[in-house]
Amino acid sequence: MLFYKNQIKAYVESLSSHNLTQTENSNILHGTTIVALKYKSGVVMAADMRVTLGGGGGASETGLDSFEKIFLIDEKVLMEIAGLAAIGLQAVRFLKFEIKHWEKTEEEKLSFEGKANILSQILGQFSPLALKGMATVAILANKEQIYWLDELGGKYSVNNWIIGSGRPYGVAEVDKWKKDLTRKDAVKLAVKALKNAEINQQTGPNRLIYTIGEKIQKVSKTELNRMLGGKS
Amino acid sequence: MNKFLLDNGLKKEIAEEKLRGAKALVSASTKDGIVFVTENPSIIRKTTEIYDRIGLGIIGSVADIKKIKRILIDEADKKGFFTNPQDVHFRPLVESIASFLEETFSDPRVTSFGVKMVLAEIGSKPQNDKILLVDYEGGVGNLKNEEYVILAAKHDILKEKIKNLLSDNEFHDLDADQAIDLIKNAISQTRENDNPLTFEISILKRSKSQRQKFERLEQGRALS
Repeated sequence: MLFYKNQIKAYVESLSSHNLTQTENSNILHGTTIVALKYKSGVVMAADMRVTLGGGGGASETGLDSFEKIFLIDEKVLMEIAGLAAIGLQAVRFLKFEIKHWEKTEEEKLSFEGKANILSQILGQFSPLALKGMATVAILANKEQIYWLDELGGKYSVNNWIIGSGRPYGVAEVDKWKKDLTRKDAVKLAVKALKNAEINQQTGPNRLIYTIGEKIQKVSKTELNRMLGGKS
Repeated sequence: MNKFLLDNGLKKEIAEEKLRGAKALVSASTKDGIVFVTENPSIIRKTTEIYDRIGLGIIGSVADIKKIKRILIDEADKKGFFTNPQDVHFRPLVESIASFLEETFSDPRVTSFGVKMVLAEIGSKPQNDKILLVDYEGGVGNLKNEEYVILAAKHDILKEKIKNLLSDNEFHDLDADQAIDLIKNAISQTRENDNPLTFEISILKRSKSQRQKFERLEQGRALS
């Protein structure tokens, strides 16, 4: 049913001819931590900004610590990606275009659940790549719901999630999540998790944070400093 | 061999038969954008977004309307994905739907589409708006780019009414609301009885901020 199925297929086929070695495999997921948490009236999405060029090294080696891993899908929905950046970017683009095409041909609004299912199908199409070590995962959220989508297209409804190479270091913090957090506490928790994930340079020091409430807001550096009480 | 080959005369009759009873549709370029106003008592949608700056108003048989919308949207979306949304242009889209219709019309093995449509693209100012008509034969109209076009069985009567109501004004100088009221009024004056009419109204907004300019303002029957 995907309108761009042929385009996705062509893309997957062209990448499938590559056979990554074991070393490349283990390195390719390194360098990302993305977090999403529910709070009382919305959702926080936070991500580091590091892209590694095929290796697990630090920013000095890659020179790129300013990559935005959170994407505006429409005025109510955000998506985060972790894994192979190229494939994640394709997934974002495919999702945006699929939604637009659906809404135009049906002349109706597409539900959030519908959007998540489309994304799950797109990632499902990418699964041959995942099985070759080119894995990409995503988190999709609106103000009420968070879905984490695995590299085979599995879709899970969650209250809080952390994924990427920094997960083992940040997960303890995210596990402290409680129901009905305030926006401020939720942002603090997400930042703490990202901070812990910096250990071993699993994640870059720069951060991008959004909250989805009545509208989508970027949490600026000043606002973040105020929330954290001067510490970052 | 197919025994049922249709000549052009017969195909024209079929198309006209499908178009019989189609309600009037007027599209005009105003200060605030290009408006599409059509009498529509049903839940079928006759105005639709094709791509960001490009909109469609179409009358005719329901099945054919859906097919034409699909063809236009699919083509525009494929182009936009392959390149970039700003690379989806008006002219090639009109040319391709016109040539598709011409091909279908001159193929004696298939029946003809019973549709007439207006395709429009919003510009930075009214003078840059583009409005073109395409009919079931693939003919393209309004090449002089008049500020408004009419699709209707009683075309001449409706044109007269609009002219009278416009008096010395031009659509380019009117707000969208004024233009919509004027067109509604003109269409109402051509009806046969006194029953109130329901309208479907959409606009391609001349807004700088949003990329998708198409907006629905009124839909004939309440949907929910």
